[in-house]
Amino acid sequence: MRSGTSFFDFTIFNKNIQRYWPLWGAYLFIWLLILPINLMFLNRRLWSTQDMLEAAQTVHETLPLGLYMAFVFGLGAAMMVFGYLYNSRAACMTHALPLRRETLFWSSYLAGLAFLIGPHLLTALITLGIESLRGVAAPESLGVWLLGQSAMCLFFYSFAVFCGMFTGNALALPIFYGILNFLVWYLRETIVSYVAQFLHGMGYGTWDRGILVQWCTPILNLSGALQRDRGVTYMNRPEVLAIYAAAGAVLTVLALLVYRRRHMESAGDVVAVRVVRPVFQYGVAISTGLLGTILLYIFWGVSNPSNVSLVVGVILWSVAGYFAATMLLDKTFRVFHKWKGAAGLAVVILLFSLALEFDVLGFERRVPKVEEIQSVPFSSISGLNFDGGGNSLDLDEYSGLSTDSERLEKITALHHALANLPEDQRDRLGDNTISVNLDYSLRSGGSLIRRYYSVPVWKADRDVPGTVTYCVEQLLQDRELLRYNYGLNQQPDAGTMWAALENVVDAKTGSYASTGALDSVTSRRLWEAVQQDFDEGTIGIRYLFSEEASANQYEARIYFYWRDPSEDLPAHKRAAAAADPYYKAHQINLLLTRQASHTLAVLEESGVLDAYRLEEN
Amino acid sequence: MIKVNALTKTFDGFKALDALSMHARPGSIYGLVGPNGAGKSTLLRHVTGIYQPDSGTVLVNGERVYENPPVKRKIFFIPDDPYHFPSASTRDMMRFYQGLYPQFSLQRYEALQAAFPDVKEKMPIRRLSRGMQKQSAFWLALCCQPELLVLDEPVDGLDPVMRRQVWSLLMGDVAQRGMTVLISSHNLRELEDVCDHVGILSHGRVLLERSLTDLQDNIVKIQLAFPELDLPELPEGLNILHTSQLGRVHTLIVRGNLEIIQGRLSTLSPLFMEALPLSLEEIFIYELGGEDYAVRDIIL
Repeated sequence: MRSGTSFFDFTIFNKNIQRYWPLWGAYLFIWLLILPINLMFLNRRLWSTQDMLEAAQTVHETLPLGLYMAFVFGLGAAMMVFGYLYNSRAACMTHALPLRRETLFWSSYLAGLAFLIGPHLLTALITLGIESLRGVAAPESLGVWLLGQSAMCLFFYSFAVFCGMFTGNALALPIFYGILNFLVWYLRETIVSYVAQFLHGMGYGTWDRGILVQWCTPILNLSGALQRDRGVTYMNRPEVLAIYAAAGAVLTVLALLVYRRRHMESAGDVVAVRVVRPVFQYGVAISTGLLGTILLYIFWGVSNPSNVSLVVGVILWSVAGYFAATMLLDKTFRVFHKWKGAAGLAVVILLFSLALEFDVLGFERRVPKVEEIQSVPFSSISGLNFDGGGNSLDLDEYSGLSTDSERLEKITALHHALANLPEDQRDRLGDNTISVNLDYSLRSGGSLIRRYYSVPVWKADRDVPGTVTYCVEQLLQDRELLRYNYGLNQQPDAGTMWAALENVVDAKTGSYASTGALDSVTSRRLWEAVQQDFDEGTIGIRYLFSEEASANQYEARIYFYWRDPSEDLPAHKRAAAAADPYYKAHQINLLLTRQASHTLAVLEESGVLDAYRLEEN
Repeated sequence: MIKVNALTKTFDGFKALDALSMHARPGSIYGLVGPNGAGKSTLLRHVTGIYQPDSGTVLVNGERVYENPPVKRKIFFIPDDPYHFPSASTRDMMRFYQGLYPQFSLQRYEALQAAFPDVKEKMPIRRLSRGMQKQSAFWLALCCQPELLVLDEPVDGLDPVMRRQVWSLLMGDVAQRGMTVLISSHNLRELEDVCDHVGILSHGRVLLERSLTDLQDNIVKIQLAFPELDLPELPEGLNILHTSQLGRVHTLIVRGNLEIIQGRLSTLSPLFMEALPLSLEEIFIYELGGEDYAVRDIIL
């Protein structure tokens, strides 16, 4: 008779809680210091209810710090509660107990989770108690903190448990955990660097616009999701936390499935699950091959190695990595009789490199036809002359302009020019050097992404059709595209808009200064004048070569600021917003030009140019 | 009680158990002997449900052990180097096992304190000597009142007095509760006094599995002397395993029934004839002589 499955055993759970109290005790202590004790300290120091209120309402702003705590303590909890898997004696004793694997897993897993969630609940209760005593209770912020921190802990702890199921070595777990947290990012960095040596147009995000890297590098993605958004909130993408929490739940189930199949004799092994051993072996080999070669070139100061030396370097390092991984797996240095695996790996790398060298898949030559293109999101040309508003030209879909077939013709013409750029011209220094991102969404539902870095452009090519310079100039002449790039297509709220000039010279002191906020009438007149000048093509010109920019531009920049009236600020931020005109304000800025007659006239008439002088660039 | 059938286990290409079969009756004390690497510990870890078999079955009371808590509740395992939580005392471990083994007896725990007077129950086990750690393990195991007690090199580190004490306690449980004991050891002399059944392992297989009585009844050691120096021609039909001579005294190791052998040899009119007891060690040497070099190595 088989037993029914019991999923929880209090004795195991309780033993974990009792044994590892220093871990959850330390975690609790840190949060008590950060939240309730800190609130008490503020109270004692400032005796201001307003300060207390603000502190209580911004409790959730500790989440970015909590992210790193979740990363560290999640690992710590997993190492503790599943530590019995990494010691042969402990593994034998535990698995001789009258418990099923499911019971052991869930009892240990929940104990580890309680190490993290328990302190959260306790901290939240104590914090709420202190806030209530002072009459500044802010349960909303505390609730956001509690949910956010618990979600992050759930993910990182579950991820560590998942990693832990694949190893039988306590030292290997933090290494696996650390590596797997950044593995996709690392592979992207190294593989793209390698492939880009062979394929013109290959670059970061060429495969997936970087989405895979973003989501598979949780600490970076979560860090982005919790970032300060112009001073108001630390959680600008709460759905990211929810998704990771759900991923944590999925990882937990997967960890259980691995645990059920795990053999106890693997305690002490670097890789405890047999089917993963080749993945580890060849994964370490290839990672070592790429990293070793890159580091060696950095060490030798070689910035542009030949393809042959690169392939040889990767093969040698990969073979070394293969034998190192085999030594770890077999726990012996006598692994050289397994040379066939290393030789096979070397052949695969060689064939792969040859396929790249001869562009077997036609990656470099592929340029979509206009009728194939849906849009060109995230496409841009950068490295242009900086003019206050930026140094790039976005061709992106937010403008809604880049579905126009005439504009798409110009973009594909640029792509053809880049693809046909002779190899001997790719790494030369031109009169300027630009980078081009081409990101096509195709009507077929697919995408085609190319990245061209350090592309030389020449003044002499300006009127030579088919050259990169010519094609870029064609796009720079597109006033509608430029209007969006400068943000001049926007309709600022007249009630809140104000203008200012920066980098002007004070006529009295002769030093560089700012005009500060100009009056609303002058600001509105300036806005209209700038629009008029832009229409006439005398302001808002993005130059490809710096000499032309210098010949036409002043150093002074004109700024327009305004607030979005529909945007509702949190109550505790309204006072700050009222006191600071720059607070959460939208802005546009662009360099003044000598030809911007309407704008200069308004400045003259309003007396600005009496008090300030414009310096030539 | 224990029935292992065609059990195979491979570690990284090394066959630790090779279609091993064995059988231990309820209430018996079964000794498992073999050289290092023979597969004793691996077999015990299968019997206690720690390892999952590659193939074959391990049954206790007719039920599979692996992932079967009702069966595992009846089994307690003392490995050669018992594990305890790093800072745990015997009392802490008692509470732990109390929560996991329903038949755990607190009264027995209190009663057995007198049997292990040197073990300070509140002292962390890691601070006890190796022998006292073993005592602590036996103390806890007996309180769990298992139907099957599995012991791997059980009395290593125990002094002779404590060995006797421990064996006495185990025998008491076997007699009173019908507990079955499976003991692994590579020391035959240690097992001779306590086991009623013995199995010998080599290269992952059980080479021989018998009760001690069967073994002792089936091999006879006889010393006899004749007027002449040389051994006269022996009667036909005797299965002589070994002969040796010291002066006029001849020693014969013969397979078969003692009375029949003595009857046949008496036809030679020896000056004297005497049957001597055979040690377990000798039985294995003569039974398995030439069978497997590793077996001989561990016995000699």
